[in-house]
Amino acid sequence: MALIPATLTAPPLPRRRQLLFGTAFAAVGVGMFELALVGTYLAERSAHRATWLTENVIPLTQPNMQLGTLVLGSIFIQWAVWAIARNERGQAYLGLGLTLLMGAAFLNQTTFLWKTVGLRMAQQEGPTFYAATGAHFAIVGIAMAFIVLMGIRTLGGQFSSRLPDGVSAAALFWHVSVALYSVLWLAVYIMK
Amino acid sequence: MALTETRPQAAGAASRPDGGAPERTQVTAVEKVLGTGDHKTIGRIFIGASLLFVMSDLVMAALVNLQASAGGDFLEATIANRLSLNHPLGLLLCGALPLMLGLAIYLVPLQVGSPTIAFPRAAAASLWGWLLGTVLFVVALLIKGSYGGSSETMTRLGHVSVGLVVLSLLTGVLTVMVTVVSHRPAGMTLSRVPFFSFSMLVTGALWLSTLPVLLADITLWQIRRPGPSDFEFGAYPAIEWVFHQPAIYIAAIPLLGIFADVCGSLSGQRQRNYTVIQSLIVAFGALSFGPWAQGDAARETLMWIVAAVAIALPVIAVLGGSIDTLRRGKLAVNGGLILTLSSILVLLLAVVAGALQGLATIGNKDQLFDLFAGGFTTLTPSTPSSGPGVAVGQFYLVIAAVVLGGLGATFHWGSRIWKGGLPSGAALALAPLGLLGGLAFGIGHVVIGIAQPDADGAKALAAVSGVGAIVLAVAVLGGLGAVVAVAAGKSNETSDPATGPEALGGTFEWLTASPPATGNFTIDLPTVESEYPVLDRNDQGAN
Repeated sequence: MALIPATLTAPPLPRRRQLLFGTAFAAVGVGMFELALVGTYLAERSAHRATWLTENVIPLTQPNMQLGTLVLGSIFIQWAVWAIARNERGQAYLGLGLTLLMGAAFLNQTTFLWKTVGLRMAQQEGPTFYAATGAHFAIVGIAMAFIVLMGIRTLGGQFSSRLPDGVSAAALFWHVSVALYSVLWLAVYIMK
Repeated sequence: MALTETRPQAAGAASRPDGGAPERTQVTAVEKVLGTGDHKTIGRIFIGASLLFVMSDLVMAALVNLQASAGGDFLEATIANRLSLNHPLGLLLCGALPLMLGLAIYLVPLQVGSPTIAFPRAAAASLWGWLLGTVLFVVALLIKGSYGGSSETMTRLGHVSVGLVVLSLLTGVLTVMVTVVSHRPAGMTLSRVPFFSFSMLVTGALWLSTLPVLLADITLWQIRRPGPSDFEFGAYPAIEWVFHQPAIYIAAIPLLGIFADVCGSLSGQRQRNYTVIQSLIVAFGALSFGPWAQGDAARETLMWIVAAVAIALPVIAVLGGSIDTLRRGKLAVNGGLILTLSSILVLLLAVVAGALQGLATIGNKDQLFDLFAGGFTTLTPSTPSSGPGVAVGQFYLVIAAVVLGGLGATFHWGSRIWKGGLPSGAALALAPLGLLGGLAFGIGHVVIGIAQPDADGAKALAAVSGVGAIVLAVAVLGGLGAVVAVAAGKSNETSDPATGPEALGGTFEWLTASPPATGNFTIDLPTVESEYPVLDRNDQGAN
């Protein structure tokens, strides 16, 4: 019977930081998409300054809470990155799970905000408002799906201290989504 | 390996234990193509299909211009309007950009010494997404849809299909960028990456920062739920900026890399000031960043004027540097060189036309000199507010440059793409045809914009553009014919191995077989110690 040697040769690593670079480039594209939509919103608001949001009110509490939720998510996912780099898998799963919870809370808060504001698509503000905020809603959704996928692959043993790229890539995308929300928060919700 | 192929270890378990018919383990050729993750197959399909679409879009452009030359009596007005609005979209998104992307998906892994492209399934998704989007775009256009159409459903379909095409191109260029950045072997720093691969990295950065903005415009207009007329008068003007400078130059960035690489591999010489040429490619890319110049107001700013004039400098400098490399070597003229040189000359003319537009806007109260930029809304010379002009001619020139450069690259790297390579005689015959067609295609409109002739003169010049489009389409057809002949085994002409790039090329793609085997490289690649590892190896062998 063949014996398993005491020390196995490590399998070759995947290409260096391929997933991380891919995520970074995708994040640039996603960022430009969102920023273009926010820019269009600002241009329309500037063109209709006198009549902009005269029928509806955007509350401040919700957007502030949303920003806080996303920033908390950033802390949690960075915890996951820290943990996977040290092979603390339990902590890594906890960090990823808490980030997902923050993401779900954010999506819930966004739909609540849409209901509270009550903008109709037929209003002049409607298309650009929903395009900008809806696109960010989708970006956070994509970030969550990415985290789920990377979490499953971590469970499968693909990511560890030897190769933490997947979790780092998910964290990078999450951080970009938070940065984009901070622009949205300032441009759409604060500087009304 | 095709993604549908059975894993080798599963092949032995093909026969069923219950004695039933054995499971099918052989994949058919169609399954291989549809399920492929091989960058070479994906690249070949991209190149072939984009040449096909370029040709049909050039025919559309010819019809539109002949309509203008006939004073509106050539086609029915609604059809002419639809073709007029949609042909630039077809030329750019279904022809020029995917042609460059296809070449990159094929060549970049070979140039950086990688056995595969990064994220092969994403590259395949890019191909099929683009193909589906392009077919939907054509279908919508044919059934009274897309921009200027009368059918609401088909107009919406055309609009959405453009979004799908843009998304697919972005996915494809992302895989190319990651290949350049993360698949390089040890020693190949970014400053040693071959010019074409480097130019694709710059191109990718520009596409990633430009095309999502176009996608945002498309998304926004889709959310607005417009009617057919809104698509024509609202959505179309919102995306028209991508046809004008500086954004239009994002299609032409790879041409600088192609030309520099062609000159290097034909002369067997090393490019002097390698990083300077790379910097010039970066400068050209930076000056082609265009989302900020969407409105008319932006096109009258100092920044726009400076960008319009300054972008000529990198083109001239890369041309000069590459010709110097060519001059130092043993000049072996081939069709690929003539075609790529033609593309740079046509691009140079395009940037001169752009610089004229920039300079025309300088002045105290009025412009420095009168010049009519024009637009695609209605390509009829009698329309005072729109119609042919310098900007339209410049767009045509850039497209012609990309088509010529794409053809040139296909011929130059032909022996790496198809077995034995493409017949060099065909390239030599196509080069003057393509150059003539490309020049006529754009110059007609540029002259209309500068000279602003009377109606008869404008009609004659529009006819020149129309004929130019046909001639260029014939050149593309010739290139496609050569590809089909080689693919069908009808032609086996190879370039002279003693004087061709196969012997003189200094980058990794010239170490592969013709065509490259699975995994691309069958030999151990030499250590990269300079920009030209193959020349280093040859030099060491000679010593």
